[in-house]
Amino acid sequence: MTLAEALRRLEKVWVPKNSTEPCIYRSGKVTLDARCLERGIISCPYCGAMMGMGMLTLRHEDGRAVRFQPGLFHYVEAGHPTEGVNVALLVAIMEDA
Amino acid sequence: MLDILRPQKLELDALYLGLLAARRIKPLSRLEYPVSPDVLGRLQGLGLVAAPVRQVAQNGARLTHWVLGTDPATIRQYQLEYEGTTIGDSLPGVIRSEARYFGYPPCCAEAFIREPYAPNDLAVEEQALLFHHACPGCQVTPRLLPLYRAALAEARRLHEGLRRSRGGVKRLTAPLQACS
Repeated sequence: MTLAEALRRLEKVWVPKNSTEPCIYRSGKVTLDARCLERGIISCPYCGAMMGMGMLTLRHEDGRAVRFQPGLFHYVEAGHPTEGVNVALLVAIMEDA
Repeated sequence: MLDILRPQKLELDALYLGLLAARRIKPLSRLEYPVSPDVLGRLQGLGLVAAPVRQVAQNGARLTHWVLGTDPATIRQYQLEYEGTTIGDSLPGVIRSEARYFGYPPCCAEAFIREPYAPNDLAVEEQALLFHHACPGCQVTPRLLPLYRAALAEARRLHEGLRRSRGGVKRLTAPLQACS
């Protein structure tokens, strides 16, 4: 599974019907914690596109967890660098979601 | 994925940011997106001055952001500091500078530099009011929350009034123009 595929799968977790409590989304074996998502908007440093701010945490029920900023969705879509994100862990979690 | 960039939310937030600046809860507010002329009119009605700040993305794209505030000197100072700069990573100096201009508590800025988005003691609803991430055990942010809550309630009233006056939903398309 590629990072793009993992994020597309994660997008299906991050929908209102999966909300178990405010800003927490659960589907299958994974939980997406969006409590650290901020209200503000920032511009992508690479291309200027608008992006959300804050931090998302993806947790697997086996205890594995990875944190990343919501801008990662844009970075992958736009082909920007994804430094600072544990891509291997994110993909591994979503492969077993 | 939930659409955190949906136009209606951005429009409400433009009014919310405007009110926070107009009430001097924040020295300045920054809009990273265009707003429609009627939103601009509401911001003008709050007594705000708006000024453009042009920056460059790393691919060379030119961006125009708008800063809103009641004090032209503070706006000018911000323009002098950021006009023509390249958008980069959140370096400690930028975080401290933005905290000063946008009214983020210094303790939150320092905590963010040490550990971005460290878990804090706020309820989800409280953190969702803010444009900064409160630091763990923050003594300042809880005093800001009632002010932010009141500004958001007023922004919702203004936004609802705008939507009623339009007779429906309107997308954000027109560029923001200077308020003065």
